[in-house]
Amino acid sequence: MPMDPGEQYDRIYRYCYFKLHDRELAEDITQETFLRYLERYRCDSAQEILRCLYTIAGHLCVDAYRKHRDVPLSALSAERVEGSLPGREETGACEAEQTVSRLAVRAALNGLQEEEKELLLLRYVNEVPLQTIAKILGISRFAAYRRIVNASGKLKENLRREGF
Amino acid sequence: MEGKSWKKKWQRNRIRNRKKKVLKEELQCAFAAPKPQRREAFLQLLSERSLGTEQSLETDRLLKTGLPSFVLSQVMYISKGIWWLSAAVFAAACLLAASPGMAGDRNQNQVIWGISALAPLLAMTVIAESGRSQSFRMAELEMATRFSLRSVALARLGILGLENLGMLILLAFMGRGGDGAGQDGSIVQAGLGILLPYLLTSFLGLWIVRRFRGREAVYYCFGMAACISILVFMTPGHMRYPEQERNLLWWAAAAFALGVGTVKQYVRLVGETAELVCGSYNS
Repeated sequence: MPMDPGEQYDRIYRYCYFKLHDRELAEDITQETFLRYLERYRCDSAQEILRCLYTIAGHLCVDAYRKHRDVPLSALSAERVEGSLPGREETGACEAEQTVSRLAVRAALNGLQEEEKELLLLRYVNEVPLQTIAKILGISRFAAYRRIVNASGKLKENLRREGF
Repeated sequence: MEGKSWKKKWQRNRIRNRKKKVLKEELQCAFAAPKPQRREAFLQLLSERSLGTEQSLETDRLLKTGLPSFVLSQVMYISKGIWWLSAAVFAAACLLAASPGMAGDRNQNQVIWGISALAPLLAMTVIAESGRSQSFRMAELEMATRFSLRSVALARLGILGLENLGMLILLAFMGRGGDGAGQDGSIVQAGLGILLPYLLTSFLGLWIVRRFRGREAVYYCFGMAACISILVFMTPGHMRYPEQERNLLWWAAAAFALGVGTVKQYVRLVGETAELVCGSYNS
């Protein structure tokens, strides 16, 4: 089944950026992900393609993180330090709307664990099917569903506390 | 009472759905990443690369199927009309060569020109097959098949080319004949006499196939082939077979030039098919 890189590019890039908080590095890894996929894999279904792409991207992000782990904080770009608050300078449509609810959502998200944030990103932002998320994480579909429900429940709880 | 509770429920659901929508939008903003800088350049590169990958995939398929069996499988798909036309040309040439009273210098001249007049029809078999996908407006669909249009077209043209080569050699032997005094004519002269109208028809026919689309191209080609055939048939009155010997070099040069032109037209035709493939990939 042919893959449409244009459709998935932004999503994989968003996923990599979420993991690394570095624009250049995230874009490098996104491109490397597609190249590796095209060189080594032939998937038959759309779900398999997504699973391959996210798995490759995840592994590459881990590798990149390990490589850059020893770099002192001062050496990182300002953008990377500010990565925890994306959308400050260049988030397109969201740029103009810096509302209270947005801050509340960010604050609520900061109260979640990285794994929970990743699940929410995959399910609600990148709209990856549940079955594919389960395959990416190497868990059962039911377990993936439970984790997503828990993460969204926790987020809602945090939001309630923030007055959303 | 029941109506009020239903309305409340509906309003509650509406608010909940709106909140969900807002939350989803906010999540998208919260997880938004800076705009990628090299996206378009990379996608462009990837589309070129994926075209290469498709081609290598097809090579894999060809290797898996086996090139000879792939080429042989295409024999079945060549139109029956083309085989019938080839057979008719061969039968007519045989009849012409074997008809009584054709021996002798003067009659031999008629045989060679008669056979030469049939050569454009033989060339039409290849031209009709090369323009078949376009004339039936199936080119775009055939590009998406297991083997690309380019491979299929090349295989079929290869088969018909070989068949035509065999026929031309046979026709040249038939046209060579003799002078009635037991001496055989030159096979080179007979070959050139047949090859020249064949190459002229091929060259013009391919040019027409490239210029015009649809069934019109085939009609124009048949018209052009008929014109060349009639012209060649009328030639013996003005140009006698033995005189050809004097102008052999000119005939050879003309055949060579037309051969080069025909090959160029083929290359352009195949190139245009590739461009069409690239276009469909990029769009």
